[in-house]
Amino acid sequence: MKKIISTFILTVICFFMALPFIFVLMGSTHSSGWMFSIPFDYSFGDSLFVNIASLFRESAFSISLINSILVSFVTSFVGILLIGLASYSFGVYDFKGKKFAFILILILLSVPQYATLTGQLLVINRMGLYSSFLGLVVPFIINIRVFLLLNSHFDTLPKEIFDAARVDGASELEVMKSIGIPLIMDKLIIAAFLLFIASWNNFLIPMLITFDIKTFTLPVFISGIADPLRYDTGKVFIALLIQTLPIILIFSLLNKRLFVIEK
Amino acid sequence: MHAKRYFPYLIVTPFIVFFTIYRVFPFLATLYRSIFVVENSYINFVGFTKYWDVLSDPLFLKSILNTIIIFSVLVVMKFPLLLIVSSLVRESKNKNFFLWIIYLPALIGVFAYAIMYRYLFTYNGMLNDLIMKVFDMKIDFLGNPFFARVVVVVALVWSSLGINVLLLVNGLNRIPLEFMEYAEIEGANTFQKLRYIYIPYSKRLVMTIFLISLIETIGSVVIPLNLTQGGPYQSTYTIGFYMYQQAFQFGDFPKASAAGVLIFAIGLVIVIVLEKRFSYEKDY
Repeated sequence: MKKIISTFILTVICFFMALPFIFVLMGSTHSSGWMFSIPFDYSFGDSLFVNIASLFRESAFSISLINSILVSFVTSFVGILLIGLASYSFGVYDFKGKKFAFILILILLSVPQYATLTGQLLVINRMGLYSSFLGLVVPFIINIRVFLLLNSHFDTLPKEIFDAARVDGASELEVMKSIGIPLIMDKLIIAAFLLFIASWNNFLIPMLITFDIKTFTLPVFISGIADPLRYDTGKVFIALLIQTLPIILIFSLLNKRLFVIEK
Repeated sequence: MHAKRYFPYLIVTPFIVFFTIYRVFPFLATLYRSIFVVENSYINFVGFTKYWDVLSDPLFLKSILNTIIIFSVLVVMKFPLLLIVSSLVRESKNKNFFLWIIYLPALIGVFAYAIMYRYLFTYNGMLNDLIMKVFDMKIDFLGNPFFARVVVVVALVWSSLGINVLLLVNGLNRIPLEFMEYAEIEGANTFQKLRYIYIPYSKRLVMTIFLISLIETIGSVVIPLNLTQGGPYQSTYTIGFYMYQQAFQFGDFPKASAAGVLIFAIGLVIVIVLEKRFSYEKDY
């Protein structure tokens, strides 16, 4: 009896957590006007492909989709390289200035992300990165959360194995390549996926620095066409689905592994 | 020996360079912008006048009030839910499935679900139809100041519940098994277990989650922007959204920078004070 009640409560909560997805899924199969149907239509419609076709007919959409994919891949690839190396250095070595840098990183993590929004835009502007592909990548390579996550894993590695390799005559580079990285490979892969998702979802600053359709990303495009009072809602829902689907796929692949890393 | 000395610096340098340029410089630039104003290509030192402008702005005071209200509603809504869900999920057989659904929204971009919510909560939308069927009334979610705040809170809770539940579940796994067995033998029900075992044990974790939620609420820009645009009657202006408005609707960058520095200071003070206060208490 108790089990049934607890499962019931969880199912209700999960239903409400999933409600927006169900809503978007339903909306994407209906033609425009479904939003305003009276009485409300709770079935799935038949204009899924019409919606997809009308979305792809917008040139801005294909451009922003390709941009989004490119930007996310480049950002996560360069990001995992830089963050991986830095977190290895922070976790395995003791060096001058490490404590100071760490405190600075923690401070900047613990204050609201957009507190320095105007300053970030000023810096991006000064470097001439407005409305350019580089502007969508370079400022977002560093992700403090992922850095701390990886650092905590490098921190827990026993130091003796590194010393053992050094005694055997391995150089620092060899130690890193043959011991440090293999030990933490699975975490690095998950971290790369997290970076990908973070870049894929990046919205506010890209919206503020892109004025040209050629450098639109998917979030910027979607926020441009989303308006409940406009009539072509099916298109918006399809775009939202395309925005969320890769994340759901990645998350299904990682599932349990992600839960282990987030300690 | 030389290689060993320089290697850590060598591999950390690219990170530090990017970190300095795109994280530390923006803070300095924000600070600079708030005390120096460029007028007719002259740079004027204006001191704290911009801060005074912000602090004496009725809209800023209102946004502080809004943030407090929104955060209070959030606490009332999130924490009971958090405790219930994490204690139920822990004992559930399909633990991973439920966690999967609850965690998923945390990975969806903030802007995407803010847009989903805007469609879901329209006056003639699906949610109002469901409410109509059950309670025979309609709620003007995005047109009523109180309910607009509630919708913002729902969006905030929806996005962060999964992360927090996971944090709590992983933390609760460290409770000694004997405690639970003993409670079972003594015939404690779920509520008693919640009250006497889970809550005392998870106090520190819950405090951390409280802190993160507070910082998130103060700094939330994207949710008000995409969901309510600060309205109705400026009821969903958070402090973060106030800053955004000053910069990009009114073009007043110095004032926005001053607001940004204030947000930075508020966040830092909250973190330091609460961390100090609660690291003294030894929970277990």
